[in-house]
Amino acid sequence: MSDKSKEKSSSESKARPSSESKENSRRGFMKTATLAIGGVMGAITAVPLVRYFLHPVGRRMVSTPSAPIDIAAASDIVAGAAPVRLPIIASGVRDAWNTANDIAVGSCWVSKSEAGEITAYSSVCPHLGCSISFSEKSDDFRCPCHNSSFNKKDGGRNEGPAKRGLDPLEIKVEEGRVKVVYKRYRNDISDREPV
Amino acid sequence: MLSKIGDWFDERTGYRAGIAKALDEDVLGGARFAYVFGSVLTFLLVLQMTTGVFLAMYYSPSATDAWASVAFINDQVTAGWFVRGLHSHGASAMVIVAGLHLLQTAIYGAYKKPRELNWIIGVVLLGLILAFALTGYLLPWDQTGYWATQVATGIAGTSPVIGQQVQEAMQAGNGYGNLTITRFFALHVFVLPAILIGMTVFHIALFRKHHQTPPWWLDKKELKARTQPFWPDQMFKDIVAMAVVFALLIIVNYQTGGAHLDAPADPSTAFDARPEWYFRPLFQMLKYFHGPMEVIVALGAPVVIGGVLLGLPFVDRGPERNPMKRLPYLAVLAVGIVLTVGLTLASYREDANNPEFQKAAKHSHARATKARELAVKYGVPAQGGPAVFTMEPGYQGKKLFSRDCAGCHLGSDRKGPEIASGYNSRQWISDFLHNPAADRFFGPTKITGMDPVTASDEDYAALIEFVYAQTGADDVNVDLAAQGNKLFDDGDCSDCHASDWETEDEVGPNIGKRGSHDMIKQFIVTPNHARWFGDKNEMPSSKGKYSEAELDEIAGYILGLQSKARNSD
Repeated sequence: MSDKSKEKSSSESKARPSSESKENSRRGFMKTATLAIGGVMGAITAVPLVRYFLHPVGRRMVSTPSAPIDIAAASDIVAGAAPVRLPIIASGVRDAWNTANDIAVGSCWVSKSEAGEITAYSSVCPHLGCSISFSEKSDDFRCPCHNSSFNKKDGGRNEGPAKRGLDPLEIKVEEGRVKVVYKRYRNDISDREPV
Repeated sequence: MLSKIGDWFDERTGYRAGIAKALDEDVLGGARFAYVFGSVLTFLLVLQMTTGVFLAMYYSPSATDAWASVAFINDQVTAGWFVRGLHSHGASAMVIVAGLHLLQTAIYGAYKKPRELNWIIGVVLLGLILAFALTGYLLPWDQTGYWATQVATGIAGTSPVIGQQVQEAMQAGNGYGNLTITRFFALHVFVLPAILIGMTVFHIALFRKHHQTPPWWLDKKELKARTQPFWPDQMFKDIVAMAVVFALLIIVNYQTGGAHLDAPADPSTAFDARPEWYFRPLFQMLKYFHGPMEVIVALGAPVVIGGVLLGLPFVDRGPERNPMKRLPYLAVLAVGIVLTVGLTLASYREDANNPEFQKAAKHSHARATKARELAVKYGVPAQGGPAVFTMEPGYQGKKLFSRDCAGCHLGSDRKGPEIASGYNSRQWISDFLHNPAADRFFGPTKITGMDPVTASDEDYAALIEFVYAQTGADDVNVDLAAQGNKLFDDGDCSDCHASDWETEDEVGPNIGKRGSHDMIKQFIVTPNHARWFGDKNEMPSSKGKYSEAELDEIAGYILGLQSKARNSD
């Protein structure tokens, strides 16, 4: 910038309307350019930051091996008895940067019919994810949060705000061991949508 | 519509007047690029805070998790390398721009009355920036940060009388661990930012009170005549400077592929620690002083540098701002700069001319690459960063082999055949068939019965392929192996050897599935099985010694040797 233009640029100068309008358009340009440069810099920073922030969305940040998980010996589950809560302990869990062995990822309610058939329900309430318990008194599954109750026989919904029954988990009995395929489903919808 | 919303807020907050007041400042003598450094620093500060907050979304301050989480940010999170790189290089940019800001204000005589206090705050802010750098360097918990910070806390430990207490307070205890990292993290993200922001606000408020220090070569009348408004005249220059710095930052970030990340901190390894470039002069200086002088210099240098800077406004007190007339004072700064640059260059040159250091650096780099690859592929075990190396396939097997098998199967004091890179490869089989009694093979054992195989080149290739096929390798030439099978059955081989796995008590071992995963596992457990060497076996049985998984690991390791070139270890 030349000294000449600086001399003319006194903000208080009111003389010479032509130079003042020139000055005004120069300042107008600087204002627009400042905002534009600032906007571009903001965008260049914001785009990667938003992508960075959203990285975990739609990705499996916590994952377990897909193989069925051993939860008990088949003979340890008493036919006709009340359901028992068994922890589901994954042999390996990948949690973001970590890998760890023998980590509890959840639990399930397991029972054996008189005919010897074993069933398991996820202990995650299909309403909003609280941990389901079994009530000996009313002989049904109950959610301690919002009082949904579920049928002992087939896990179906009896009453309460839950939109579906308990989520059954696939069971495999291999060489006398009970193995469960652990899955989680989206909360508070009537269908079972795996997440 | 938009203006109506604006009106609503303005009526309730008066923000328009506030903004106008913030922007309305006369720049005496006109806008100048010399004044941009403070604004650029503010911009960098905002960038550091923004990237810092985003890094904290994925960072885990614990001795076992820190490295893994940083490696995760760097190598797995979308744009993670970019964000981390901006933060790391942004720190360097802050140090550089803060230095330039200090120089500009010194040359303009901006520390003189009535601005002494603001100069002092500026010097303290520079110290804070360096404190940020020091605490941030440790947070990735990688080799560089871990070892370089040991030096820094070690220096604190040499303080007279209370050295040990100071060091223990800094590192939170008797050594480095979880508490060190939580302490450094809390300082870096809570304490230092609070102080820095507070002092920056104070710094800018005092600046607004006293305004910028105008050029010394213009008289009052001229200054007034050339006065321009801060908005947009100075702001435009400021943002141009910010854009230049930002562009440079992005270019450097791309060129370097983001910030450096070394292998996870491992107290059991040797590592040539080097501090960040801005601490190189102090680092280098310590090499020249020994004994009691070392402590004096290590602790004294920062005190002297800080003291000179803080004392400047009280020594150079006259109203004269022309640098040419203040040469003795500015010469002190010049000497400081020359010393700083000289020591930095000397430090880098020393490293460049030190083949040992270069070799170690190359090794560290390879280790870092390996660790990061394994972290991406398998994750980092919960016991901490260095455990990532145990995730390498064959690692456990190699460890068990080294502990239990290598004594007899590796080195010159062997008692059995050599099991090393290339074991059971075609070349190994060929070498063996040509001379079974060689030192590499049955030489050290009592087994002497087998004569070298004589055959045409073509038949040899077929026999080798047949033996090779027993290992279950996936690149077997099936036709050639079948041809070899025929030669084996029709020729002399089958006089002593079976090849069906089942047959026992032949003269020589059954070669069925020889060198396969299953065979190796079973051989380790029962080497004296009648299928193989029976009474002639000298190898101790490992029955019950290993779990199934451990046997798999050892067999996996031995099988893995097959595809490696001989002597490649």
